Amino acid sequence: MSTYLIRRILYVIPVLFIVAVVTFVIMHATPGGPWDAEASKRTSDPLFLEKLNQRYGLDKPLFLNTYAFAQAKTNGANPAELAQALLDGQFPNYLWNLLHGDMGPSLRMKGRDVNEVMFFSSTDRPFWTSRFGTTALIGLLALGIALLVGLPLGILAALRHNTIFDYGSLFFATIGYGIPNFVLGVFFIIIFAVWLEWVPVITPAIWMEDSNMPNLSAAFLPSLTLAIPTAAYLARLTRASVLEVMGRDFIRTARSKGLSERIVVIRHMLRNALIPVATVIGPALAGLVTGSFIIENLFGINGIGRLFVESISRRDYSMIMGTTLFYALLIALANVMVDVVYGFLDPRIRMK
Amino acid sequence: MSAVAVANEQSEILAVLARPPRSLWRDAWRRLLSNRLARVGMAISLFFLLMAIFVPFVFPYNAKVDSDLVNQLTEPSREHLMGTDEQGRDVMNRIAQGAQASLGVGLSSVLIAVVIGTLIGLVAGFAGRWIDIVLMFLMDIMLSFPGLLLAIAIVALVGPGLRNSLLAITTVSIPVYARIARSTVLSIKEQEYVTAARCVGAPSPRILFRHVFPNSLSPILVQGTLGIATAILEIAALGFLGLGQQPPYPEWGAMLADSVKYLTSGAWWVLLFPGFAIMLTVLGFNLLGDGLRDALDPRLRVD
Repeated sequence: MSTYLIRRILYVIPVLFIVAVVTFVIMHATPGGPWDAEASKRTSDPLFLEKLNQRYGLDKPLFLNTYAFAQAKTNGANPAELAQALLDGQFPNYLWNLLHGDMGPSLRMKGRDVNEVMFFSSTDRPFWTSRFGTTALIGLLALGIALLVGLPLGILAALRHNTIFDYGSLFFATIGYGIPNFVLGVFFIIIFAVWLEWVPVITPAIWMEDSNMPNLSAAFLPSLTLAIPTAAYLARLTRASVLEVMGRDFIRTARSKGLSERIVVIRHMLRNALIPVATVIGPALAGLVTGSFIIENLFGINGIGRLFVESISRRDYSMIMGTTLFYALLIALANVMVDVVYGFLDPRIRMK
Repeated sequence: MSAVAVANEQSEILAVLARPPRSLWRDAWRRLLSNRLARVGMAISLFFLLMAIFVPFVFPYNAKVDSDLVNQLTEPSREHLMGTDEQGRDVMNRIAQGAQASLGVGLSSVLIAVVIGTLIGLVAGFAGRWIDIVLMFLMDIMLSFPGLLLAIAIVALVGPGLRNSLLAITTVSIPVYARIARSTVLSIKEQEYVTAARCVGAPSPRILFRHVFPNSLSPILVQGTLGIATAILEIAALGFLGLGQQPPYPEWGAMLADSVKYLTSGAWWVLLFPGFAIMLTVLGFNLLGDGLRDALDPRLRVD
């Protein structure tokens, strides 16, 4: 089990490396750069641009610095110095800093590091008020709502198979799974803000100036929007899984032993039926967190997702790398979690 | 058993034999038609499909000159059933004209992705060994990016626009079909009829395209139908982020994005109707896909 776990976790490293390479290449192949994305602030002074590029190391070759290598060779440097000269490219430097936990300075947010922008709040406030904290809060709230809605609906639909409950929850699951979350968000805003006037049309800040606790009423509508498709998916999965377990022999055995219906359902049926559901919770959370960028844009929430979309259009290279790697890490870890949780919950599955 | 009974049985058998042969596809078609939800899905999909094909022909539309600044953001009325937008354009007309963008890109991206993805999957599954390892490793890398994020990255690379979002959406969905095709091929490869074909000396490409491919078609067909729904959703999402169809041309997602800022003034109709259009189309293709899955493989049904 532990060697399996270690191997699965180690597999994340090459995946992240390749994601980093691909992102880096796409990013630099994209027309434009960090210094010219905003027409109003465009600078044309070549000397100034050169200084900027030098300051941020953007004047170096992307991968291998063959120029420095050749120079070091003519100077008769030793092999260690030669390797160092060869690897003095933008990508190797980025990786080296990343291994030291440094994602570099943002190219568009003056004087701020990527780490700081993503994981720390601007003033001396706790880290959970950061962009990461905001996105995580929305994601976790959404997961909570999805579980609270999806599981009971799925279980109810299966236990009352082919009744109005079943059709009702199937209807919800079909609609909810298909509806894009930005459309759903717009519908919610129309219903709750424009028609019912329960909440303001413009979502207030989730972290108030004077408090370290989240403004949950502001976070609720975005989380609900984000949660519905996942809730629908969980309801469908739960229903199918419970239906499948219901027909098994051990359920008949449990009933014929004279166990009460409650114990049969809770201890025998649900315990087995929820295994496949438990395994998708990891990916569901990863999907919610990475899928929140449209919601963040729609509701004007300052999270990682909005940062990601903004940094792409502003060509903030280091920020693009940071957010993409963050997303890729989440997805990769979620996939590891599936396998691990599955093996943990169902001892019949042997880890190879 | 009496002679009469035997004769009866024989005539019954003859009657069965005399029926026209029922192919797998015809059976599936019948099962599909008997499924109420699938019929609803088919009707919705067909409605929007016809809209996408015929509306631009029957009602030619020039987006560049369409504006009526006197009637900005008017509520739904008899004249404008779904109201007008911030430039006084009729929302219903723009939704109808916008169907072409969504459905056109949705269908063609799935078609292209299915062809390329299936080919990759067939080759990987059939060839095995290092070809399989290399191809599937590439597909796994593509899958480790969240789909829409990769699409955004590609659009950022090649520039915003409808054609480029087609390219992005197609690229993103290729690995899905490659994986499905590969896994079906892996199971079909072990079937006896493939061994039989090999024994009579059929060359590999022939086995691949005559025996393996037709039998791996149904899961790809199901995924393809569901994929149309995903593609329509992704086009709308790209349009919503301003990366898809560019103004002034109509596209549902872009219509939503253009109108979000008018919510504060209470203009709900510019958002509700394009939203409904996206929702209904996605729903239609999802229902059709679910129905196709039940029809093509009755074993997969949960109830």
